[in-house]
Amino acid sequence: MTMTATRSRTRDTQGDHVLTLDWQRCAGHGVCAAALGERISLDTWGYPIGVTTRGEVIPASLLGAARLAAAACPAAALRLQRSDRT
Amino acid sequence: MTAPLAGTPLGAGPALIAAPGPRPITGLPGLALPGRLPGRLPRELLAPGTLLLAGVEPGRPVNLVEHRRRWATAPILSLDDLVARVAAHEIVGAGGAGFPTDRKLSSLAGSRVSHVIVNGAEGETASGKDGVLLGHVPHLVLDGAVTTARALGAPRIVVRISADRPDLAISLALALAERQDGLPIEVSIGPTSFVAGEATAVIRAIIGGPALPADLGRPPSIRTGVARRRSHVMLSNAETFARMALASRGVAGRSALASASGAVRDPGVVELPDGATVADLALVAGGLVGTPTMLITGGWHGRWVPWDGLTAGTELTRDALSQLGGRWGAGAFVWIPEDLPAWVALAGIARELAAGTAGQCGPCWRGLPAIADVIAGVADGTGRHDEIADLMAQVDGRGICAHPSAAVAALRSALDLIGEDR
Repeated sequence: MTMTATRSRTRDTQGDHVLTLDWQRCAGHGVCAAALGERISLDTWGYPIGVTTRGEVIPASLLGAARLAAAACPAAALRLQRSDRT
Repeated sequence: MTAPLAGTPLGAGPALIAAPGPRPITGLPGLALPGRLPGRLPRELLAPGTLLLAGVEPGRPVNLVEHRRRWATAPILSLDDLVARVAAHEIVGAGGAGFPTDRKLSSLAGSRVSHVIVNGAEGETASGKDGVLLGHVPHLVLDGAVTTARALGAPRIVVRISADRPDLAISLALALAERQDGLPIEVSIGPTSFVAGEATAVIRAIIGGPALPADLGRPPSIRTGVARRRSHVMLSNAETFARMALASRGVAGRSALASASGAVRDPGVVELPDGATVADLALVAGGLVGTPTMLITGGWHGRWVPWDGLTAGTELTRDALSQLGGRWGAGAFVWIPEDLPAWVALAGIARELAAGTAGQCGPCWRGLPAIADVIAGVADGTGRHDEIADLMAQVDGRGICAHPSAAVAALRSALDLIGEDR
């Protein structure tokens, strides 16, 4: 039991950070593109390109910006999660 | 094999900034189509069929006595037996996706299945086959659902139809009054809209939500085995259940159940034997009006192909149509009338597809109307077709359901065929 618990905790901390978009919430505010311009751009109508419902893996170098994008989204449409916790 | 259905709440997020909310479903589809294209379902059965509809008189439902005389009672099968028979008869989902039904069934083995849902909502206005089946052979469809529910241990069956078909509610009520299946069978009536008939929208409505597509986080082909807490839902198209009713009895044989409309004398639904061609379909639909040059295969989400000898001789099967560059979909065929300019026809269909948005995802409800506007502009000589490709690229592959991508694929095939000669 202890072994199992330890192993799963280890896996948790090793999971990729994944940024997902909830299209039903997204209202095209565009805050994400400002916060995470390295990965997200906006289409003709202001909706984000570069993030999907399936999730995009975010490298460590962009974690801070991705956290900001998710936290600042006025529609709460962006979520940053560990891939093994979804 | 489960996916949370209610993982994403529908409510709007914190309203820190005033922003456009999701759009309501736009009006009834079909209203924007040019007069010569069907704005309503091809509802009539044109002739007796060859298998599911064998011996069936157009316009008269088969009652339980007649049904039992022809097909005997529905067998009770274990899930393994049902899966084996469904696989042997190569039954695939007849709503459009064509996913193998045996795989859908076996994915539910060992799960608690709360509902078997018969999808007869038929949001595709160019298709009328499910209505024809529920209106003529309701007992065949119900038998398939009952055998499936028993094999899965599901306690209830729901038949979903759309509000513009009160005749089907009557046909089903009369059929249900004749039967005693030992499990509740309900008829559920949903809105008449293009996406309300989409599988996840039907499931969501029946288990208590809006009739709008859900993101089930699964490949579209198998996401209809949906989790609700710890139970699942088995949804299939009405035709699929009718075919399962025959497969479960070991009745061999194939047929093509197709809807013909547009430039045909008698728009409607017909069941043709294995080996029948698109030309046969046109013939049974009263023959073509004038000399059309384009055919839409697979309905509004389908593919446009030239109407020529090659197309005419193509068999009415999924594979043959794919090889042609067409699509079977739900078996809806629309001949573009000769006197209807292709761009005008396309503008009407683009408008129809735009009206079909559920209004949930921005790129779809903003993008499809924008595309429709540009195409309408090209049709009346004021717009430029070179803007279309860029807009389509911004819609393709985005959103939670298949509608935006399927709409773009259909419009692309039309543009490829029409060319830029304007």
